Amino acid sequence: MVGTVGKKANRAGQGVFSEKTLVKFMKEHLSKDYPNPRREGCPPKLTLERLAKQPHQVDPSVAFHVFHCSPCYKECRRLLARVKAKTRGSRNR
Amino acid sequence: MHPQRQRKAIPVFWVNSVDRLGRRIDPAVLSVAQEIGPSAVRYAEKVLGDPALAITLFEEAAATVSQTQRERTSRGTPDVKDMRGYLFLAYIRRVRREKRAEPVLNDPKSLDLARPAQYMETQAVERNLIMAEALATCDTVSQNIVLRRLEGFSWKEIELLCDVSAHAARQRFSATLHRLRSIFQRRGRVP
Repeated sequence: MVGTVGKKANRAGQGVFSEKTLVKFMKEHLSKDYPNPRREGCPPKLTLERLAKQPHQVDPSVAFHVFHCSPCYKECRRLLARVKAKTRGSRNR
Repeated sequence: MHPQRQRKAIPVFWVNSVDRLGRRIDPAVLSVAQEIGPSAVRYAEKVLGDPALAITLFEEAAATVSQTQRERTSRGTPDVKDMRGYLFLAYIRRVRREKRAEPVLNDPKSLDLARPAQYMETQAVERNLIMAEALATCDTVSQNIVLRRLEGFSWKEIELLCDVSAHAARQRFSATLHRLRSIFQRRGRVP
C-alpha cells in the first residue's frame, strides 16, 4: 500500500518537474537572465558559428560564455537552428 | 538590430587579490575570476540589485575557492578540473544565501502571503538561482549537449556533432535534469 502511494507521489512529482517544464525554464533562464547590453567579452560571430558546427574545436570558455550571456545564447540558438536544418536537409536528400 | 560588439571602450573589470575578510585570492583563481567576473557579477547584480555587494561576494567566493584549493593541495587531493564552473557555482551559492537572508533582515513579515506579489518575485529569483546553480555544475561537454538538446537535436545528431556517443549524451542530459529536479525538490519549490 505504502509502495503504491509512493509511486503515485513520484508520478505526481515527475509531472510537476517534467522534462518539458524544465527544458522550458532552462531556455527562459538562458535567454533572459544574463543581459549583456554592451556585449562585454562576447566572442566574434565566427567563434559562435564554430561552436554550433564543431563544438570540440572551440575553447571551453566560449561554451561557458554562451551559458552566461543571453544575447550570445540567442545568437547561438539561431546558428544551431541553421545547423539543424542543414543537417536534416542533407540527410533527406 | 543587434548591438555592435566591442566597439566602445568598456570599463575594465578588476577583482582585488584580497577579499573584505583579508583572505588571499591565489593567482590561478584570480585569473579565472577576472575572466568570468563580468558575466557572473552582472547576473548577481540583477538578483541582488547592488553592484558593490555583488562584487564583494564575488571576491569572497574567489577567496573561499582559493582556500579550498590550498587545502586540497595540502591533502594531496587532485585539483579542481573546471575552475570556471567551480567558482561560478561557489558564487551562486553565496549569492543565494545572501538573497535568502535579505527578506528576513529587511522585514521579517515580507514572505507573508498577505504580500503575494513580493512572494512571487522571491520565488522567481529563487528559481533562477537554482537554475544557475544546476547549470553551473555542467562541464563543457554537457554544456554542448544541453545547448543542442534544448534546440531539439536528436541524440544521433548530438553524437555526430559533439563527439560523444548518443547513450552518453542522453545520460549526461538526464543527469542535468535530475540535478535540477533534486535541487527543486530539496528546496520544496515548484518551477
